Amino acid sequence: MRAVPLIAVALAAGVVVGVLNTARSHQPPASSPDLAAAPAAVPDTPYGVGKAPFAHRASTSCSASACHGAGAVGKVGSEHSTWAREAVPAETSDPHAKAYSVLFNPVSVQMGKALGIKEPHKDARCLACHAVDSAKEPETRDQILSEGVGCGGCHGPADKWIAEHTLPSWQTRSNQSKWTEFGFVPTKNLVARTLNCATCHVGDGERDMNHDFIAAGHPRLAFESARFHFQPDYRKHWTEKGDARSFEVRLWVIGQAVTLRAAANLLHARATRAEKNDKDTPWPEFSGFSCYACHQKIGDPAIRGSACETKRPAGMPGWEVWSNTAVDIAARSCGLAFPGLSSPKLLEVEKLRTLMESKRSPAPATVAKQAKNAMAELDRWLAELQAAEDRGASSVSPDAPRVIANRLATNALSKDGKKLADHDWDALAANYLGAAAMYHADGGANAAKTWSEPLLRVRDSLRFPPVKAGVFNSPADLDQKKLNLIRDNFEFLRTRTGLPEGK
Amino acid sequence: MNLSARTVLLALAGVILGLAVALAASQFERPVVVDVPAHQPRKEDEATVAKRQPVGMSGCLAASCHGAPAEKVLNGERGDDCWQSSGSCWAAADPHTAAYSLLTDNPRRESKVKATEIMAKYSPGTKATDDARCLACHTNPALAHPALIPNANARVLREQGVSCEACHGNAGAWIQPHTAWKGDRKEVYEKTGMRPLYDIGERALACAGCHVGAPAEHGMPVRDMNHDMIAAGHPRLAFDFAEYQRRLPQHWQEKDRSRTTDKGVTRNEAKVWYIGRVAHAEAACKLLEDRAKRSENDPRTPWPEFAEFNCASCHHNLRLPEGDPDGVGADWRRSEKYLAGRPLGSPPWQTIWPMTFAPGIETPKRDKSPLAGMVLAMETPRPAKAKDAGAKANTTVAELAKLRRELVAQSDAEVENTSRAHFPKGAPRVPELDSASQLFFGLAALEYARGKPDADTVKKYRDGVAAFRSLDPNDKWSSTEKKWKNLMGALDALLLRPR
Repeated sequence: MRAVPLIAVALAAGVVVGVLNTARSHQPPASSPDLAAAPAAVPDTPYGVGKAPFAHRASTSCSASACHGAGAVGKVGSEHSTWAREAVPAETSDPHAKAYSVLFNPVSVQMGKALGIKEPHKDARCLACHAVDSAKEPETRDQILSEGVGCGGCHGPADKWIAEHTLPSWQTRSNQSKWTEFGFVPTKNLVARTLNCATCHVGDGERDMNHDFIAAGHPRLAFESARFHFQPDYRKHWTEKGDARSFEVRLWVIGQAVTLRAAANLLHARATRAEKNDKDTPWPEFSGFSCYACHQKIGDPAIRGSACETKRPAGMPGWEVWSNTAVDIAARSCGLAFPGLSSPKLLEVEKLRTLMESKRSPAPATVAKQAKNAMAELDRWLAELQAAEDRGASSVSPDAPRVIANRLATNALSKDGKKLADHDWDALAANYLGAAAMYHADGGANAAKTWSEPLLRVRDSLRFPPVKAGVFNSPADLDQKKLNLIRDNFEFLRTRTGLPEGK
Repeated sequence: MNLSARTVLLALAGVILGLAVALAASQFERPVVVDVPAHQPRKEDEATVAKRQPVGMSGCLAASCHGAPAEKVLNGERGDDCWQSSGSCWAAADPHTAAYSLLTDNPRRESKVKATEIMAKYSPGTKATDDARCLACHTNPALAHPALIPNANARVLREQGVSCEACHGNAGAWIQPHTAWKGDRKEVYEKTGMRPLYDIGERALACAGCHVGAPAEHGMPVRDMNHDMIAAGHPRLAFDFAEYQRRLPQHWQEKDRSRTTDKGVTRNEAKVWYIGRVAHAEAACKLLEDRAKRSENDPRTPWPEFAEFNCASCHHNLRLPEGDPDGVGADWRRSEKYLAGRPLGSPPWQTIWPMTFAPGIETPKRDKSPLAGMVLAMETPRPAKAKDAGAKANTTVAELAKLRRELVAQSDAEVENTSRAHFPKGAPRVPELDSASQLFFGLAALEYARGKPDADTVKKYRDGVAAFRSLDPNDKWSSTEKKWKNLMGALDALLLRPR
């Protein structure tokens, strides 16, 4: 009954707006109209980013047998036991538990020597990611350090929430309040979780594993959220919410957004330091570019991607090919992973790419500015994704993984489908890994048999040559023949994941 | 009396004082320096340069001028009449004849990559024969000025490739005077724009103009074959003046124009090599300065320009740190000896041994080489500012030019001794392609300085160099290990021979 006057008001308002619009329509609009106003509840930035201003606690605060240390690996109440390698000797454990101890091994010592770092286990640059370094009191600090990336590394500094999180009232708090007021990282929200992973696995303003480190022997960073969650040597101490298919699709989409956001953030930090002529900040920073853009064979024109439609100008390494390749597909497929969400337009991101690839080493100040714009754009998207996650694990349609895999296969190919869109190993790997995540989302070997074949072939072609003594740790044999094979199989994959005839 | 006695005394005192002053002055006088008769380039305005019109090779190749039968010259006989067949010799056998054709679809020499393939990536839609950057080195650079590109007459002349005037200078102003030399020959060269190629340092610079690169000057466009072109498929430049010159069909008789004699001379190849290295470094620094300057305003000129750096410093495959297949050490790139103060992860600037330090070779040390400051400016401050690097290049060019002129004036023996001092005594383990091939070229020059080597030795060198060129720099230390070891063996044998 009351709907009638409301409709009348709405109609009247519509007429007024329409008249106003007609009156204005002779003039171009001063700004583009907002097509769909974002719900007021979604902030511009996701929570869980940055550093919570609270103290860390040692993991012993968590590992009481009545809390998270019950000793039954894989069971609720035994999270710490599952995480720690000492508690239960097993072939797999959580690699984060070893993060600090690896700083003592010969490779780390050698690396330190090359970099002029006397003791890697005492150096702030190493500890930034290999441990949780925050306590002032020496004994507490040593204890927390020795745990590697312990509980607080991912869950946030526990000082303020350790008591609180056992109370029933904790369950009623919003994730936002858990983070802002207590410094607790709500890891069940995949956006908050992945953003937290990326601080180390990509880097941020305080954590920078750059080309100097890689030259000294540190492995490169190649974060792929969906893949990392299913590492064979990773012993999970929690179970995921929602069905397996939805989880994998959500995680992949979120992972793409987060990885690029972290890369833009790192670029911003580096550009800002370079702008101030910081002598320890190389510019351009090579680790921001695809490794194998430079570390590739030369001599034979056939291996320079002549038969590919790579868009970059010749001679220009690609900026963050790893995190840029599939993000547009993730943006396009946003609604598939989170029904109801619209796809973001990544215009600032595109501008940043153009800037980074149009002129080598553009002015750091220009880069810093554009990186910030791109980050803000990605943050708005991430805030939307985060809000959607908080509304509950979405349920994706059974068709979604196949559709996304199809888009990724298409993404790997040129417009006419006859060539590869980008011959860079990172680009090929990003498309492959996305498709592989979708394959698992679709039930893996049990359910998606039709596309396992091309996918496995792409994987085999992307594999580095076998590691014998002193031989390569890079795609040294990625030649035109292999590229052709990869192209053929991406096409094969596209066909296999395409809609059946007549649909 | 008294007055005259005083006058005499005063005069005497004056004389003594004067003598003392003169003596003291002579003590402080600078030691005798050799006057350098080498060519001193002078600043020329563009208008003067523009007046020197090109003539084209048909102006030189008349039978009574430089177009006589070249049989003798091609067989290695170079007498006083050598000049008569210089043009025919060039036309018959010189690789520079093919330079222009390489830009077309019908190259006269076999090449791995066609110009059209390169242009498809470098500048889609542009023909190489219309592009100033390509023409600048593939023909007479003076004909590659952007304003001359649409000119039909210029096109006809350009088709002659890197012909007479590309090296000797546009002949418009000197074609008459050079047929009947009168007065000071050196002065005519300077006034008319005929390049003083008799000065071995100037000659090396002329070659380096294309084989290394040069800024736009004297009516010529910029000559800069950069990383963008290499990425599009152009081969890299790996120049050694002495080696390249020896491989040319020599159409001239070496003469020392700084003396009055018109007789032919034999150049000392060690001197030629050493001066060539200095001129190479000079050209490289000059190009660097120009690149730095252009990068400030021209968005197409990148900075850092990757072609400034050693190719293999980036283009090498990545390895596991544990690997050390043949004792050279897969980890040599991280070794203290190789880095020698360069920050890890920062690419090394190009090797121009012995003007720069070269990995695996003891002399010169990184901080003692003539280019130590330049190398430091390019490798150590990160970000390496274009302005600072350019300024350093500018002062380095002046230092090198001075050194080059001094060397030209020095005796053969003197320069040969200087160059010999750089060579390792034993058998070095040179872990890297550029330093190894440059060492090879230097050794070859020393060998020739001893007199023309026998056919066997020549073959050994040529095989060595050919093997270097066919080596894949990426997996030299594993899959082509055996080949590499043989090469090092050849190098050992040469180094250990008595000198």
